[in-house]
Amino acid sequence: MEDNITSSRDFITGGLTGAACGSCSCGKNQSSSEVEPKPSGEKVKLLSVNGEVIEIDKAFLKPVPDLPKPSNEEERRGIEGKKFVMVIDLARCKNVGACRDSCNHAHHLHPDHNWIKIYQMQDAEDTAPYWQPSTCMHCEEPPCVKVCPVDATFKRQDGIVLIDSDRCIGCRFCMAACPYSTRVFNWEDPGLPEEIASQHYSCESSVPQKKGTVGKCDFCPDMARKGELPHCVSACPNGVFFFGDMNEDSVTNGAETFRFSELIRDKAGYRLMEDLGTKPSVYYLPPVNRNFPFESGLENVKPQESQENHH
Amino acid sequence: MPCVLFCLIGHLTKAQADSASQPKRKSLLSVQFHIKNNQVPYLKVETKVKLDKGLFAAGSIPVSIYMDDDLSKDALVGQVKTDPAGEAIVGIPASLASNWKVKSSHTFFAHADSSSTFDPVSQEIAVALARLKLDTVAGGTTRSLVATVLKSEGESWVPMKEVELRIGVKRLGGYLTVGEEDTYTTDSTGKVEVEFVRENLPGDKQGKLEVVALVDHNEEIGSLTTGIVVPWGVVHQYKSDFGERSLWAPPSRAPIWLTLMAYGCIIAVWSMIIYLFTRILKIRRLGKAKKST
Amino acid sequence: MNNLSSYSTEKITADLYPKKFGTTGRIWTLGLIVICLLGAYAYYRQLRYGLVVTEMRDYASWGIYISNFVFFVAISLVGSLITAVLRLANVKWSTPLTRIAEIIAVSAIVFASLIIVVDMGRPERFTNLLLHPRLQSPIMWDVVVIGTYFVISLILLYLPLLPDLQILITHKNKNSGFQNRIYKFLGSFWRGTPEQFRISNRSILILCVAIIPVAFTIHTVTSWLFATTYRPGWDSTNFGAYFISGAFLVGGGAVLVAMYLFRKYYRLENYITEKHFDNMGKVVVMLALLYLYFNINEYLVPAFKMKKPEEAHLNELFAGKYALLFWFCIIIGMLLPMFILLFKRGRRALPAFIAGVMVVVGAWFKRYLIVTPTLLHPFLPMQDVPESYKHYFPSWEEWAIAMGSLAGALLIITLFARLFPIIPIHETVMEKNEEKDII
Repeated sequence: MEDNITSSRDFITGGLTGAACGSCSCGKNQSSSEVEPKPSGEKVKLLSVNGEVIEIDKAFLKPVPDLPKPSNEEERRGIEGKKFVMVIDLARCKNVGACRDSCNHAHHLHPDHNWIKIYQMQDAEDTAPYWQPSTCMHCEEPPCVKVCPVDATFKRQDGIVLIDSDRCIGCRFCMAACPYSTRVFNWEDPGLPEEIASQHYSCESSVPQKKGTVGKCDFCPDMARKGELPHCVSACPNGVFFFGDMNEDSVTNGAETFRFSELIRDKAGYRLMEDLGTKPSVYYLPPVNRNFPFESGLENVKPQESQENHH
Repeated sequence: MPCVLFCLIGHLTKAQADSASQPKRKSLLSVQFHIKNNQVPYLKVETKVKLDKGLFAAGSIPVSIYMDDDLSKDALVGQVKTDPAGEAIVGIPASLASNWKVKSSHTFFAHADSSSTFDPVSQEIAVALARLKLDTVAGGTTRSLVATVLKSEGESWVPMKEVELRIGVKRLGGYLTVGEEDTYTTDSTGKVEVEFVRENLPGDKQGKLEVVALVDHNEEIGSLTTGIVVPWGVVHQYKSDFGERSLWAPPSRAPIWLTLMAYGCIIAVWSMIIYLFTRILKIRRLGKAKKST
Repeated sequence: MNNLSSYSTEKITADLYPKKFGTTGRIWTLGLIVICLLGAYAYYRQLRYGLVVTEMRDYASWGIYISNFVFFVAISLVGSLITAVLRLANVKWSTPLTRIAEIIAVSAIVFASLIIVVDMGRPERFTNLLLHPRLQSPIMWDVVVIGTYFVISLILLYLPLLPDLQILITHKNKNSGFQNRIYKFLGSFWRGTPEQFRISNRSILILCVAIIPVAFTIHTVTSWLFATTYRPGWDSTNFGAYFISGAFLVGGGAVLVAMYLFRKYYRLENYITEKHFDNMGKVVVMLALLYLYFNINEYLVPAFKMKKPEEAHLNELFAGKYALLFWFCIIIGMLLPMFILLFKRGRRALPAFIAGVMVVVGAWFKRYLIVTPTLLHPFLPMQDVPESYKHYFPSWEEWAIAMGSLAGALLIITLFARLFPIIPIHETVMEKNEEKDII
C-alpha cells in the first residue's frame, strides 16, 4: 500500500446519500447521535436510478457536509451513547511514523511536538524489543483531569478527554500528573499561518494550538461526529490502529472490522500501566507473530533537532 | 488495504519559467460511480497530486463531467470544484432525464482544468446500471440474509453473476462482517446467501442493527450499497457514570466528602479571621472615642 | 537574661528605633533593586516570547520557578514557628525574634504567589482560578491556603506592631514626613489603653493558635502538588511531614541568618545576644535531626526496594548525575550545620550565622532536587522528542527571575526594617520592666 492517503472508505454517513434518504422513505441510515448538516434551503433536481426526478437540498451535495459547529457546552458533554476505544496492534507496527506525521499535520502542531510518540520498548533485559505507538489513553479515571484547577481539561460522556485552550492557564500540573508522558506544552507560539491562527478554537479539533497552553491527542472527535476515523487510524499503512465504539463492540482500522471483545480475547489485549488504576481506553495487542522484524523500524529513527525560534 | 483505482493520464510539467523549484508532480483524477439503496446515483470526483513526498489532496480544482457525449453542452452532468480535501460529489441532473432512460449503461467523461498546482487531466468510466437488493431469508432456524445483484438490460433486470460483494453490520467507521467470510461472490442467479453468525451484537435502543451489502468499485457497475434494518442485535445497555460525583468530574460534581471538608475548613478559619477584623475595628473605635473625650 | 533591666526605656527606644541606611545599607538596597530589575527584564522577555525562554520543556515541565515556590512556602513557615509556637510555649527569649520571623514569612508568601504567576503559561488568565475553580484540584487547595496564611501572617505582623507605632508617632521629629504619614495611617488610633491591650493580646493569642494548623496545611498541601502524582520520587506518603520538617529547618536557618545580619548592621548586640544564638542554635539542631529522620525515611525505604521506576531516579541521586548536588544538600545543608550547632562554641553569633547560611543554601538546592530530577525519569522512555527536551539546566532568564524573586523578598524585609523597629520596642520595654520588678 504505497499511498499515504486513501479514499476508498466511502463513509456513507452524511453526504448526498443521507439527504437522499431524508427526502424519500427508505428509512433513516444515519444513527441518531450523528449530527445532520444544516439544509441550505437551495434545492436541486436530480435523477433517481429509474429516471424519476427527485429534489435534494444542495447542502448535502458535499463529500464532507458542513455540520453545525458544536457549542462549548456540547463539546464538554460529548457525543451521547458512544464510548470510544482504540486498539493498537503491536504485532503490525514497524515504526513507519505515518500516524505521527498525519496527526501533526492535521492538528497544525509546532514542529517540535508529536502527539503520537512511537517508543522503542523492551520490557526486560532478555525480552525482545518492539515498537509501541502511544496516544493519549483517555483514561476512565484521568489523573490529569483530577488536578486541573480551572476545568480546562475535562472528561466527556463518550470517554474522550479534551483540552480547552481558551481556558488553560498553563500551570502544567496535568503534565506532571500524566504517567504516560502524553501531554505537550506550547512553550512558544506554534507558528501557524494567519488563517489558521485566527480561527475560533474548537476543543474537538484542538486547532489552533495556542502559546502557553497544553496539547495532546484528542481522539479526533470532530472526525467521529462525521462518522470518520481519526487521522492516525486512516494514515497507518499497516493497519496498526483500530478505533471504534465499545457500545457497538466493534473496532476498525478502515479496512478490517472486528468485534472488540473478540479481538481482545483472541489476541490477549492489555492496557498500559494497568496497576496505576487510570483505566485507559487504549488497548494493546501484544507483539506476537509480528509482521515485521523490529530492526526494520530502526532505519526511521533519527535524532530530532529542536525547531524553536531562537531569540 | 484496498487500493484506489487511479488512471494516470496526467502530463508531467517540466521546464516552465521557474523550473528549478518545480517539483515533479503527477496530477491524478478519479471518478467513481455510486448508487445507495438503489435510489439516487452520483459520481464522486477526487483530485490528487503525487509528489516526491507522497500523495496529497488537491483542492479547489474545477472539474466538468459529461455523460455519453464528451464535451457536449447538452450532455453536461455538472461543473464542480473539489473541496479542500480534493473531493466533490455530483448527481445526475434532471435535465439529462431523457438521455438517462435511453440506455442501460453510460460513459462519463471527466475533465479537470489546470491550475497553478494542477495539470489538466481527463478520465472516463463506463458503468452499467445495476441494482443491489438485500433481504432477510424467511423461515428456517438460522438468521440469513440474501443479496441479489441485477443488471439493467433494456426494460428488464437480469441477474448478474460473479460480482464480489461484502455484507456487514454498520459500525463506527466501518462494517463488521455478518458471516464467516470477508467477501462473497454472486452465483449464477445473481444471489449470495449469508448466515448471520454474530451473536449478541449490541444494537440500538430497540436492539435493531443496520446491515449493509456493499459492492466496492466493480469494473462494470461501479459501487453499490444497500442497507436494511434487522432486529438481530441485543438492546444497547449503556450505563454511563458521567453525571456522578468524582474527583475527575466538573467542579459542580465534586465528591460530597471533599466539598464538606474543604468548605468546612474554609468557613471555620475565615470566620475566625473576620472575627479578628472586627476586633481590630473595635480597637480603632476605642482609640477614636478616647481621643474625643 | 538580657540584662536590660539596667537600661532605661529611652535607651531601649533609641537603640531599637529604625535607623537610616548607612553606606552598606544603601549599597545593599541598590544591589537588590538591580537584581529585581534584571528579573523584571527577564520576565518581560518571557511574556513576549513565551516560556520558551526558559529551559523547561515537555519532560522537565517544572523547573526552578516551582522549586523556588516550594522554597518560599517553606521559609514562610518560620512565622508560625517562632511567633506562634514559641509564644504559646511562653518562651521569653524569642520575643526579639518574632517580628523578624513574621516579616520573613509575609515577604516569602508574597513572592511565593508572584513566582507561581510567573510560572504560568497564561498569567493573564489568573482570573480563571476565581471564575472556574475546581475544588478537586490540589492547586486550588494551595491557592486557598496560601491566601489564608498570608492574611493571618499579615494580621500577626500588624497587631504587635500597634504599640510600636504609637512610640514611632510620638517621636515625630526623628521621622521623615513620609514615615509620619505611614505611621499615622496605620496606627494613630492606638492609645495603649488596658482595653485595647486586652483585645489585642487576646486576638494575638487566637492567631497564634490558629496559625499553627494553617501553617501545617499550607506546606502539606504544597507537598501534595507532588505526592498526588504517580511519579517515582514524588509518589510518597511521607511527603507532608517531610516537607513540613524541612520547612521548619530552613525557617530556623533563615532566622539565624537574619538575626546575625540585623544584629551586626543595626548594632543590636544587647538585644540579640549570644544567648539568643545559643537557644536558636539548639532549636535548629532539633529541627535538623527531625529533618534527617524524615530524609532517611524518604530515601532509604524506596532504596531498599529499588522498584523499577524508582531505580534509575535513586541511582542518579545517590551516585549519578545528581550525586554531587544531593550529597551537598545532605552534608552541607543538614549534617554540617547540625554538627556546628551541637557545640556551645558553634552556637555563637558568627558560626551560627554560617550554619544558617549553609542550611538556607542547601535547602534551596534540595527543593530543586525534589522537583526536576523526578520529571526527567518518566515511566515511558524519553523518545520522539527533540534532544534538548531530555536535559534541564536553567536559562539566564530563569536565574534572573528566580534571583529577582529572592532579591525582592529581601528587599521587602530591608524596607520593612527601615520603616519599623525590627525588634518590638514595646515588648522589650515590658520585659525589662518585668525583670526589674522581679529583681
